[in-house]
Amino acid sequence: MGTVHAKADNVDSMGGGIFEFEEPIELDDEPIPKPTIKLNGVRVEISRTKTLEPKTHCVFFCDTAAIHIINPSSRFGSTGATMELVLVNNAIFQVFHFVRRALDSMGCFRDIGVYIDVSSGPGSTPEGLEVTFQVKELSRIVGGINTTVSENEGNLVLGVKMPNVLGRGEKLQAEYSMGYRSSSNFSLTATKPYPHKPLVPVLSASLYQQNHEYPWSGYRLLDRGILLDLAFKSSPVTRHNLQWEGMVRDTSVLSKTTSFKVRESSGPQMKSILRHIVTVDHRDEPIFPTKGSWVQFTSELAGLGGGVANLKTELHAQTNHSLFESVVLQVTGSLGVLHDMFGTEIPDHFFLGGATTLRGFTQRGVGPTSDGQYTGGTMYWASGVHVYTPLPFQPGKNGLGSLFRSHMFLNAGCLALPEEKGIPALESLRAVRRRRATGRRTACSSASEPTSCNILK
Amino acid sequence: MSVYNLWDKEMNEAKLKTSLSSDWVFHSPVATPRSSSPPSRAGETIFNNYIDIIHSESNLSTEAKQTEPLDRPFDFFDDEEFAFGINLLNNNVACVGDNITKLIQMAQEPWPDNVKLFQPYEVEQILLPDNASCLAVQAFLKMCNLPFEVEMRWNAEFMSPSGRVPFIKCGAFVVSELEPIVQFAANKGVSLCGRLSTEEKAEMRAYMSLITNVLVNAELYISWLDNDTYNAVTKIRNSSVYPWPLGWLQTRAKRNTVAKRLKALHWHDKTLEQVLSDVEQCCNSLSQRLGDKDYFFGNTPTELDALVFGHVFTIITTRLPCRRLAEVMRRHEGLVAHAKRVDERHFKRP
Amino acid sequence: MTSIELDIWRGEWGLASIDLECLKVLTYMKFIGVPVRVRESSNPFFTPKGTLPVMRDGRKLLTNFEEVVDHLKTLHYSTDVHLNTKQAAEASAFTQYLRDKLYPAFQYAWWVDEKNYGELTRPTYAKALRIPFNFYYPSRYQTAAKEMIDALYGEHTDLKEIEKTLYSEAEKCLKTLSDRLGESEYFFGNRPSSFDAIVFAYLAPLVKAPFPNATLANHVKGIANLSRFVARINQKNFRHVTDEYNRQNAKKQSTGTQSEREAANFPNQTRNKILAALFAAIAMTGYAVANGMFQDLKDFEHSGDYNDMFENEEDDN
Repeated sequence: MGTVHAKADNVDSMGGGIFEFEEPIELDDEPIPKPTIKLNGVRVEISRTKTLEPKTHCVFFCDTAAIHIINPSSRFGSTGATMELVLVNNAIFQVFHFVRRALDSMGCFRDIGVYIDVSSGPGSTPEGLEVTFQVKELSRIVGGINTTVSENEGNLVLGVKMPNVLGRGEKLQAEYSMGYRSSSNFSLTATKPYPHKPLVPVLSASLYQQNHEYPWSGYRLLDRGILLDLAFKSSPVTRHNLQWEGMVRDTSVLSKTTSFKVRESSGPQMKSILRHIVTVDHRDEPIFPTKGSWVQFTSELAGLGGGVANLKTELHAQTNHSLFESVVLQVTGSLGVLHDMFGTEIPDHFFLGGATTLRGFTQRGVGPTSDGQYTGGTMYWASGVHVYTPLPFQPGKNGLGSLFRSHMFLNAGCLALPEEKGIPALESLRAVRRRRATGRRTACSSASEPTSCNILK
Repeated sequence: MSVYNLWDKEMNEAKLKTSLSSDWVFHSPVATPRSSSPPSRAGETIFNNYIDIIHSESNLSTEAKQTEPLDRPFDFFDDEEFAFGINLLNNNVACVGDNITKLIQMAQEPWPDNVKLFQPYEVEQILLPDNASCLAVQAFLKMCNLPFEVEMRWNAEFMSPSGRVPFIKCGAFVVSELEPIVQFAANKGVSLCGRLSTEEKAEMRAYMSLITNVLVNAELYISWLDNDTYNAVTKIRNSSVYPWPLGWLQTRAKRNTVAKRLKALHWHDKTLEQVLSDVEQCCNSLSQRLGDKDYFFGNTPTELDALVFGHVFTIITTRLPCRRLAEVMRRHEGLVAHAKRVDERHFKRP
Repeated sequence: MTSIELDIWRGEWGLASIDLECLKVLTYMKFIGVPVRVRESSNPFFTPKGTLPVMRDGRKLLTNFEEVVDHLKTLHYSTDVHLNTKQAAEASAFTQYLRDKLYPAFQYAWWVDEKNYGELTRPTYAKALRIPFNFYYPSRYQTAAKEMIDALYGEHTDLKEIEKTLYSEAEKCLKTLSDRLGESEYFFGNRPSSFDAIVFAYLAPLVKAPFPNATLANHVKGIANLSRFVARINQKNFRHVTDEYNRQNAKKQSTGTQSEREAANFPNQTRNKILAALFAAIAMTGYAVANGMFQDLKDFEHSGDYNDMFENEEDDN
């Protein structure tokens, strides 16, 4: 617990307020109440602040100490703010780290620098430290072209981003991706963070259109919709997403040889979905974690408006454990249940198989089929044991080579459609078990390829 | 580029014609093993193989005779030996399976009992042009005494291989619209026009074109471009199966499609008067051809009778704000009597 | 009755006109033998509906075949008087049949097939049209034809598949026509009717035009009685056009070298070149003037050479 005392101040109001400085700060003002910053239990008081350049807006979100600096007159230069903080104990370094992280997570700045000096000049306190956060703001519009590989094909993604549209970290993002074969997606997203509110909510709204072909299932899907999302954190590792999605889904038959069952589910449908996703993440890294576990639970209710009503629940879990140095054992498991009220068609179903769900199986290659086309199911479980090791002999150890791993895996899973056969759920669980045997066999056969390289972005 | 490819392809096919059956034997195992390629690609290869067969005509007939020692000749539908193959190239036919020989055999098997005819909901959804064509197909199947069951689906239009209703599901095949269904039935040895001479068949086809060109377009015009009918009937019925904003979107999109089609056929700029005078002329031609006979070609019905019945019956029985179409039709007593006759003889039998 | 005037697309390859509608009207008028002054205006820009043919009779303006037939009927000119009601019905049915089955394939062969369009249709129409219009009309007609194919067969279907369907339908239609015609001279008896004019207008371009991708044309040429039908009508009504064409052809073949033939194809080549050069020069000078280059240069008193040069060029203009 540290308390910082300050002697001179030029800040008008307190806690949670936003302070704007239009001009270089006069340091010899009347002393007024001091702003307080609460950081993870560390209390810091700002003794005085000044901006480095004239005509810079300096905005403090005092609750979380996310310092948000914008400079409308010279957007592309570097700006910054200096505060004089008086340190009582060493907690100040936690403060710096925290502020830095907060600034970073705004996504509006690069080259964030923290300069610390002993406070000097008129009116300085003897123990005071002068801290300068110097940042370079991203330009008003950022564009980018990159390529990705999705489950079906390679994509070219063109993106335009406007970070910090209104000066409070609002983001506007447009993306167009074009598949090598047939898919084309477009999305427009507006994001508004509230970093100074409790639970750190982030509000976002997006408009999208997605066009995908699924030759394994014989249909083509054209989705157009709106997604409203409210993300917040109830604890540092627990993240919630509350979503509403309204979409029009146009399923069309892909080819002449498409199975009649798939044909039956074609046609345009409207769907309105309420969704809650809770993610608990104790891993040390999102990519190639070495320890910790991760759980995600999704519950979805469709049918408040629209022509499709169903309840969908999914659970994904993952735990990682380091066996030896840099050899990681990962155990994953997932479960899903879909309960149909009305209008649920093949595109709503779960599909299992392929690199993103059940590696080693062909794309969507698990579960019921109709005339050679995978029609998906309403219940599934999948599990896997993965071992990640660095590449043998570790070429490019600290460079590019660290982005690659050898990956050995053993996957098993089962997907069932119990409604269709008219058997109760318990019965279908037995079916599940039976299917597991075949599933495991296929998994073993494909896992017997000694290793497969997992390439990440 | 594509044109050049096409050119090459034709050259290849020309060669194929001369090299005969060895190529066919060579081709068939290519399609049969299901490799890891997705089904749709497999479908492509099948159809490409079909093209080869059709282009090497003599080849197929010998092949078919070897594989299937039935004494059924290939010429059900006048002298077209390859109605089936042509049919498969057509957008109106879809099938499941990848073995061509087996499919050809299946296409020739007798009419099964579990044939289903799919169409939109008759009471609240179906529109005038769709209703007419559904009725025509039903009439044709009844005239042939082929058993079928009518199944109504809200998305029949999207299930159909050609995007138009009605369609039938017969075994592995899905066939849509009257003409392809007629050909499909002919493949199974069922035909209504077997006794007609070639001239009469030519005439029959011409009259069928007359109907699809004039009556169908007029029905589309009245349903979608005549504002009264569109607002009072079409809009409501077409959007009845969708939840709120989707119905509006779908109806608008469909209206655009129909308008585009009519524009391409130069019907879009016509006034209602011009449309009705075209219909009048078409009806005149039909009544002249019908004269006072029972059916268009003698005493037994043909598919032309089915088609005329479908349209005439639908037009005179459907209530629309725009009554002039029905009035024009009613003036032709011969046609109305013909429709009644078909209705009584083929639909009202126990 | 010399007051009837007819504006049409110009002819080519021994055809009286390259356009289907024009050929219909022209053939029909030939059948009747009505005196008419034909003008190969080949420019639909100044016509009332933006299409050719245009028939003028006094103050009446007619723009399509059906109107022309009706109008001539009011003047007691008709080829269809010998048809009984049943035959008239049949003729109208067959007209729709052609429109339904053959017309899409015809349009496809002319406009949608890229090879034909690039090597035959576009050059032919561009040659017939004058300079600003030849950039506009061919592509406009192509778009219209493509829209028609799209509307009939759906946009998402493979073009190759559409082509196969179209041509197989057209082939069937031609066969039906051939069956209907049999060995008789005309479709209805031994006198021509308006339907014969229509059939001729469809088939003659397919027979005569040198399509690079001749699938449809070959279907027509492969049917003996239809080819004879076309040749017969051509011989009787358009002999002068064919003779003219043959004579020119013969002349070209006997004396013409490659370059001369090119010159015949593009008669104003030299003039065009000069015009193009002049245009480029004006454009460049204009650009220079707009950018104030002359002013700057004229300020350089010492570089009198430059001044002379530009003054000369200005004199040219």
